Amino acid sequence: MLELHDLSFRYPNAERPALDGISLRIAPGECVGLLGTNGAGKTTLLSLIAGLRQPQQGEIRWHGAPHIGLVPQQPAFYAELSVHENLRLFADLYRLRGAERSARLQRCVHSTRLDQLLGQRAARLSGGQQRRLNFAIGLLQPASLYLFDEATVGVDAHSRQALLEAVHSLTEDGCAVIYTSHYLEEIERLAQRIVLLAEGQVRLDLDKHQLLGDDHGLLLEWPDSPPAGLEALLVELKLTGLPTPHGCRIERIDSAQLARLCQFIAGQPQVPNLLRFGRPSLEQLYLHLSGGAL
Amino acid sequence: MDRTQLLSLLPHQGSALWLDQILEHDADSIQGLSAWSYLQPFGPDASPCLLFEAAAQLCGAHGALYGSEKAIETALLGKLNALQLHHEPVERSGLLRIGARQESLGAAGALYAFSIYHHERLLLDGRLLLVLAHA
Repeated sequence: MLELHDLSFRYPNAERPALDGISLRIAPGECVGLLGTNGAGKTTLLSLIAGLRQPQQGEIRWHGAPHIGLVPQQPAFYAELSVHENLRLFADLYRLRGAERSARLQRCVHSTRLDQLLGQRAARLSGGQQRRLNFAIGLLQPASLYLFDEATVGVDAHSRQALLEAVHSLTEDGCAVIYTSHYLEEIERLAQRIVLLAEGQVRLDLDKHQLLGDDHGLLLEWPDSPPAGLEALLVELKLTGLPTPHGCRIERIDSAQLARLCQFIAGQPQVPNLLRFGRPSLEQLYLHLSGGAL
Repeated sequence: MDRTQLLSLLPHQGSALWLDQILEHDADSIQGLSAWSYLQPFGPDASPCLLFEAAAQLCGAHGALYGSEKAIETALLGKLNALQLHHEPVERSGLLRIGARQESLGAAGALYAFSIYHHERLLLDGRLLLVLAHA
């Protein structure tokens, strides 16, 4: 659908390029989570794909006509118009007509939970509500690729769930999505593929399951200190426990080992005050990757 | 100035030209007429806010008349803000009178404040930055 080939971009007077030799391929129906620290180049990359800036080097190749829906970081609506007037105007600017216009308007209003706010002036909305309007305007555009740039900042938890559902529906309908957010649990939930940018370069581009793996770990903590005998049991089970102030973290544990460990814990006079079992989260992994050599 | 003259002044041709007449103009301002009929291709629910296009063309005409001796090759709307819809008429009929005043002129383009009246009642106003490229 879309191929980025060796894209580079440098802002005037900048010491280093914002983007430096980016090559990526985006397929229909794919949701790519774009990660990176502030200044890593995420917004610049999205603005190049959206055509808001031109690459100084490299090429953007579309297979088919480029139709892009963009939800930018900054509000992109008319503050003095009502929510409804904004949506009507953008529907007209996107050249939506008749039944399709009505259906898209209705769907966008519903999925962004703006039903009760249609008559309100956009300037009077809260920050989170303005984000939802921004989101609705982006969704209104019929597109094969949607770009979301920190689109849910300041949105309340309930509305955020609705927005994530809307993004998920886009990929189910065969649209591609590039999604950036500092809420990594959103990316973990939505994206099938994770791309990590650092200093304008792609440092990692992996399938989410490949990245997070199938290994499950265990975090154990007691109110005071770990029970006597725990260390010996870990040695017996051939487990490596990384010490924490009141317990330990075991990075990989299988079900048989877990069962033995639970049996041991159940037999102790003091129960742990923290027992967390699962895959590492994207956030844990991201902090590890961006805090290390990257 | 009628529509025939406007067609030679502006790059917008045929139904893309949303102005019917220029009523008066000077170095700072311009007045013209448009019509509701230009919204018809957008359907009966089209937003009256779309009439900013007629205002942008009027500003383009002003730029062509006072910006240079040369005709305008392209007139690009660089920015549209402070857009405000003051009412929505039940009947979309009658003339639309548009006025625009140039607030500044610089390398980035010409900034105009515009207003559109329907039956002497303010319908829409806002500001727009027009980037003019001469032939």
